[in-house]
Amino acid sequence: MKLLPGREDHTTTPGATASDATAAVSALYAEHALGLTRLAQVMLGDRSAAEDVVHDAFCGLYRRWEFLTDTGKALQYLRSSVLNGCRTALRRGTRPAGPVDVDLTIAASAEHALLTSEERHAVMAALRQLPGRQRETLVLRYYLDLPDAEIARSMGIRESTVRSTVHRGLASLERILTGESS
Amino acid sequence: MSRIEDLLRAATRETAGEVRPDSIPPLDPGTLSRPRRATTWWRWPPPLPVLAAAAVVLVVIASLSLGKALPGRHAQGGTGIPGAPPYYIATTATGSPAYDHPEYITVRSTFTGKVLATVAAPRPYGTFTLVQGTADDRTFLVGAQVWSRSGEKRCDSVSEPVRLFLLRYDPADHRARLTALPVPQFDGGCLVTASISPDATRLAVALGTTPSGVSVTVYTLPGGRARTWSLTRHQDMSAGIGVTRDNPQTLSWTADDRTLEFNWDGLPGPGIRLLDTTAPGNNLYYSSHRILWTYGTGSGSSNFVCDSDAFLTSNGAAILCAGYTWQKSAGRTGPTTLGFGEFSATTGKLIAILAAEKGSLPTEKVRLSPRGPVVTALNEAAFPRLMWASPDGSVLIGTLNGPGHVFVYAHGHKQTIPWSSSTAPPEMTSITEAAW
Repeated sequence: MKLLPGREDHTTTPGATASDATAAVSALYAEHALGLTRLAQVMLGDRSAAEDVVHDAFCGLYRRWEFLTDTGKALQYLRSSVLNGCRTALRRGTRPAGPVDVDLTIAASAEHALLTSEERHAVMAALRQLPGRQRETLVLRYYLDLPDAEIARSMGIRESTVRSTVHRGLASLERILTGESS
Repeated sequence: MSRIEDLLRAATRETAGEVRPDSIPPLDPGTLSRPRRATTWWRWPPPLPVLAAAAVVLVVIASLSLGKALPGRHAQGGTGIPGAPPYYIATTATGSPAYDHPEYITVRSTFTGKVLATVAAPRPYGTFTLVQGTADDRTFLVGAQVWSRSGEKRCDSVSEPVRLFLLRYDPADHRARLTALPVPQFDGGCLVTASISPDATRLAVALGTTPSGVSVTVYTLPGGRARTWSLTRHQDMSAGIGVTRDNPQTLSWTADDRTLEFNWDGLPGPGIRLLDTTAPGNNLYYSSHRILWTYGTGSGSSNFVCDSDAFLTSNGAAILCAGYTWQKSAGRTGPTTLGFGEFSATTGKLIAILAAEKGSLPTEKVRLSPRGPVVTALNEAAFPRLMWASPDGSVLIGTLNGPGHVFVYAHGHKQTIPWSSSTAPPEMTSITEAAW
């Protein structure tokens, strides 16, 4: 994970106190807990695990608050922490339900751009079958609508890697959904 | 954008939407220094003494939390409120006079009012005459129509046919795209309103036709069957759907994707009715049932008066409307409380007046009738209006004092949002409409 600027050189925020940190982190929680929990829900498909991951991310931010020199990047830090937490949760075995067995054909016509619940479950199941990095880039690109540069910062990878990973992820997703072998 | 990208975007948003704004647990500052590992920690039951000690600690923490407000809990930046939709669309008149020929729809940021994208009405229609929100905060239902010189636009027996489209806004490239819905265009009557079910598998359309009166048709999407509920010749032919036509949810789906709620304006009196679209029957009145008498007199013994159509929250728990309290002792010109009335969907009783503020209604706007106070329209723009509500009713967008005072209301707090005079709230006679 890419740490915030200032973490490496242990520069402290002048005058930062525990109550400052509590107030600031509480305010950030009020503003971003919903969005981050939704992000974790998309990644994990498990509400309880998503809440745990988000809570841990805010705890981590609170512990490191005095080292932050740019509090404007707190959301970026939280997002990275949530992604890290999701990776850990998936490795630990907090896994979502398996793939849904449906016959999904990708319609060629844009007229049929509506999503049924079966399609949604199939897409989410396919998404969760992808390798972690592909899944994360697709979620950051298509759920959060983040530009490549911000995805790169959140994941600690290069922008060119983001683009190639998105390309491969979409191809993999389509293969899974249409039942083609790779 | 490819089909797979569309699917991915829609699926992730719908999955994220499972986390409702009011379900986020509050942050207990006392736990910030202790990471929560509930999913793994509780797999091995702790010994009883540890449980006992933990119970004591929990009681203490809970009592401390109750004793003081959480710092910053309600602090909201100028950029948004959790649970509030980030974008809305509005028909934008570009010709002269202002309320004429809405050739464009603008996509705007809810919290800054900034125009993010502009969409021209497709040929051969040339104008937009209907905007509605959907369950996805970046997808909207719009109606396009060849401009009719009749006063009622889309709602006239001689008006031009209306074609429905989905409008999707993509924040990544700031573009909005139109996709024609695979249903027939609506011709020869009044297209009152339309609504897409939360799972996007059904489109409901309310039509007012002559001589058969009002009807509701549900289309299975994409491009599927149609089923219609209408009235017989012996029923109230003057009945309609929608009382004041300023309600974004005059016709809308509940969260179960099978029940339609609509505002009935006919005998024995106006109110909200529910229609189970999977049950037998094809009579709009007898196949549905009324859950609340709403317009004019408020509800039961409550002195809160709904000033516009009321509607059911999509989770089916509450009924909301914009209005005011009526106090006989205060007279017609006395001060009143403006706000959004929240009624129980099961008992019809007033639960709360949300976003309440003191104010007064212009004298000319209220008259007494045998049914109680009735609002007459001299200054439509100043009417209280509820323009959007989240599925659970915890986040609202509306105005109590006209288009210059549109705000988002959530958790006891109001945040005024920029509102251009050219995009006034939907009005009875205005074609300028907005939808979230």
